[in-house]
Amino acid sequence: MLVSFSSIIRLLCAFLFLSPALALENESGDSDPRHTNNWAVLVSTSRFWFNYRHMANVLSMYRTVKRLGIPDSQIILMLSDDVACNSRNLFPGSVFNNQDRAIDLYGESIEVDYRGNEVTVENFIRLLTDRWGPDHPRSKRLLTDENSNIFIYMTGHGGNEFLKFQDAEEISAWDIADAFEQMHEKKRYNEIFFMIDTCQANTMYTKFYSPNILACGSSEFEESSYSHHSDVEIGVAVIDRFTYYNLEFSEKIERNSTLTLQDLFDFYTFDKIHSHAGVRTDLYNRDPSKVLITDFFGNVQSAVADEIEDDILYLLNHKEEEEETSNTASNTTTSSDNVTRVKNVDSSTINQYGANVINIKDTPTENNYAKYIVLASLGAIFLKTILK
Amino acid sequence: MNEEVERPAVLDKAERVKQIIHSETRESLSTRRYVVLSILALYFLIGFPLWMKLTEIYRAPLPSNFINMLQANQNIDLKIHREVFVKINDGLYFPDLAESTQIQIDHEIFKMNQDPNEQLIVDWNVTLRFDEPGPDDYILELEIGDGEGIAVDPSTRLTVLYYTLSSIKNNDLPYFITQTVLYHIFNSELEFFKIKNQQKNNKAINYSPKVHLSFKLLTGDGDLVDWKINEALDIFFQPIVETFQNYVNFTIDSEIKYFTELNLVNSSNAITLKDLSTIVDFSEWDISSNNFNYPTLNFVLYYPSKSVSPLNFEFDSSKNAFLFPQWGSLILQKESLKPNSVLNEHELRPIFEKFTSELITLLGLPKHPKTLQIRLDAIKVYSIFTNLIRGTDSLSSLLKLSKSLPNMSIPKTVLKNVQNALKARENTIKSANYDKDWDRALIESNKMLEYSELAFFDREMVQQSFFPQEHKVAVYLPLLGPLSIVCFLGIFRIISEIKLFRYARP
Repeated sequence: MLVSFSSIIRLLCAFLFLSPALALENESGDSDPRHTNNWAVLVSTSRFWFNYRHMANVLSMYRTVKRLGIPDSQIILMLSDDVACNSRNLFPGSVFNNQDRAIDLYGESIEVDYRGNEVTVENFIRLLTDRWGPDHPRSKRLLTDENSNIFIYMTGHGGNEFLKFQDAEEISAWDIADAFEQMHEKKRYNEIFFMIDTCQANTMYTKFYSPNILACGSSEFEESSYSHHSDVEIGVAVIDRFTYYNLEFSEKIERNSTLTLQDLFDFYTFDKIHSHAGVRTDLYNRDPSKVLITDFFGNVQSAVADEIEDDILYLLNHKEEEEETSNTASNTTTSSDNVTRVKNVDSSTINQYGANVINIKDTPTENNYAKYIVLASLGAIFLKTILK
Repeated sequence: MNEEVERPAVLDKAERVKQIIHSETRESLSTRRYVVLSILALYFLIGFPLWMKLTEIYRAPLPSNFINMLQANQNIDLKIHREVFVKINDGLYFPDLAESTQIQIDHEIFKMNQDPNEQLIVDWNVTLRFDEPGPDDYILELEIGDGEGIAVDPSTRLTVLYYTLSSIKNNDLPYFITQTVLYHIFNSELEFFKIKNQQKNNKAINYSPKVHLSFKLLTGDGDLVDWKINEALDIFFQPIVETFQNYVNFTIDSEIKYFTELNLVNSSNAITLKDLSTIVDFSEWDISSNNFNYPTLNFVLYYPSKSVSPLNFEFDSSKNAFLFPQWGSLILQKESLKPNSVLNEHELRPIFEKFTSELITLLGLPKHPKTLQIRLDAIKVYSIFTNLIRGTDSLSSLLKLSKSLPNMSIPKTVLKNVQNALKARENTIKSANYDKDWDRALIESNKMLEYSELAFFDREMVQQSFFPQEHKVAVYLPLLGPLSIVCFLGIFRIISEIKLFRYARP
């Protein structure tokens, strides 16, 4: 009874504090996307065969963002174990996220950037802060800039304010928050959408303090996240609930979709996910109901029809000839100096391409104000007589 | 009452002292004291300093005051003073033209700085010179014409100002020169430095001294095609490479890709500009790459497959070049290519004109004047300025982080890079302010940027900055538990023994 009472008070407080913040957001929220490129960082953190579903989660997300247009060069995929080639896998080389086994997630073209034991807390922090040695391959780096929108998806086993990596270490909510702050300081993102599917996931984003980060998680403090279903032949659960419904939603999305993040958030219900999915918007200055899903899940580059100059190469290629002619021309002018000193503008050598002469007729000495005053007063008198 | 209670206790104590003294020799008692003392000494004289030393985080002392000062007063010491060489061809002699024009120019710039909209963010000025110009200097020729006018040469830094005898009589020549210099020759440069224009241009990439250009011929079919790209590059593009060489170095590759299909729902549907971002499928085409550690710009010439040709454009089909901000450019052709066709260099010429124009936009060059050199000079000077700002930003971000994350170590290499960056900054200022050597200044400012990034992205500065309390207990408990408890209990015993002896002595 006591617990429920305190939670009600907490809820009320949260509402009181949030409502002015929301009001502000609506005023300042502009829905114009300012990004020119999209990146995705997809991380599964748990090892061993029985965590098959975490690999399937992350591969499903990989498939989705790739389908919506983020190229492999802009996806960082961290896959903590190789379930596709595990000896217990009845379908070697394949990973499925559904018992109907319709889609092989491992498929034909897949680019894993960090595999197995490379998936560590240190490497993840290094990836976010881009602090590597000089010999680190570029394809494994997060080469974002101030125009990048980054989608970060993490899945694994977690608890209150931590996420376990590889059964050996853990990353805390503070670590991710500090890494984001370092990215913010160095202007390495435009916006971040952070999604996490683990037990007590919502605690992971509570420590963020950098701007323009939108976060969502699968379950509340002291709440577990659950798997969706098992495949009898694979023998383990193949996907988590939160991810499953994210995928179900994103299957509806095409590149020109107008669905927004708010639509996605509204799609999360307790009936489906069996836990309370959370969203954190106070750091984000746009209204999620105006942010397209494709701002994060896809790589939609807008084309600009630009004014084209069609003579730059021509001018550069004909520079030398022109110099020759101008030299001869100037010689002739100096020799015929006595004949005519006043030269015609249009016959000038420099003007052979025409249209470059800009007339500066309105000289500063002329006083136009008097003219305008006289004209205005005349007009006024004229108007008066007509009105009478 | 109290005395009665204490007395048996006193007796008890005296007995215990006796007991202890008889149970052990005095020697062994004192040995134990020495053992305990030496363990204590080990703890506090060696153990504790060693523990402090080993858990210490090295934090190099960064020159924070100086960096903060730089951040607060961006580019306060940078002077961009241009020079224009005036040539008078007609043999006329204007003794006070230099002074009177300079007064006008100074006044005009002063006026700009007074206006909050037009305000410049750098100390910018221009001086007129009447001596012999070098090959790369700005020249302003004064010529008598039958009217007042300006002609800006499209291929060299030469401007001709036509004036009439009446404009000399009215003393308008200084005004004309001022207008020409500020609003025609250096207009774009001045616009760059105006406070109102500091919003970043999203189309252009950030300045980098190296840029990779990737030319791609894409067709929707699998029929063999070819293009004379080498010849076209040699003939048309070489001058661009040479003109840009003091600003960016280009590396170039080319590629032909087949079976690159458009994402068309229905091939007969009209294609609008808005659809283009969904129709063009860069990820499927697999043509983006991060192979270079400098930016890549893509120039794609696209021919549709026969099945969808001709494409139904909603726009003028001659305006088929599209800019993708910071990515590159795409020329979408209406008709498909015939099998085995070869695009020769003459067919590629108009395409290269379009690519060049887009390249110039992607590099952030201004649109005016027509003269490429002048536009290049403008962006060059502006890049020096932005490099210094970006570098200073990095350094002050580093400073901020080092303050907000006290657990993060700051190795000596970081300090060294910071010092190098500041040194390079000094050199930039020197070359710009005194030598007016913009190329040198650009190189130095690039170094400043590079060093400041190296300092910020130092690989040693990665540390899990946060350790929960439980972790610390987990690490120290095995150490403290078994070892320290034995030691401390020994100490307590010694202390209580000393107390007992002191009691027993009188």
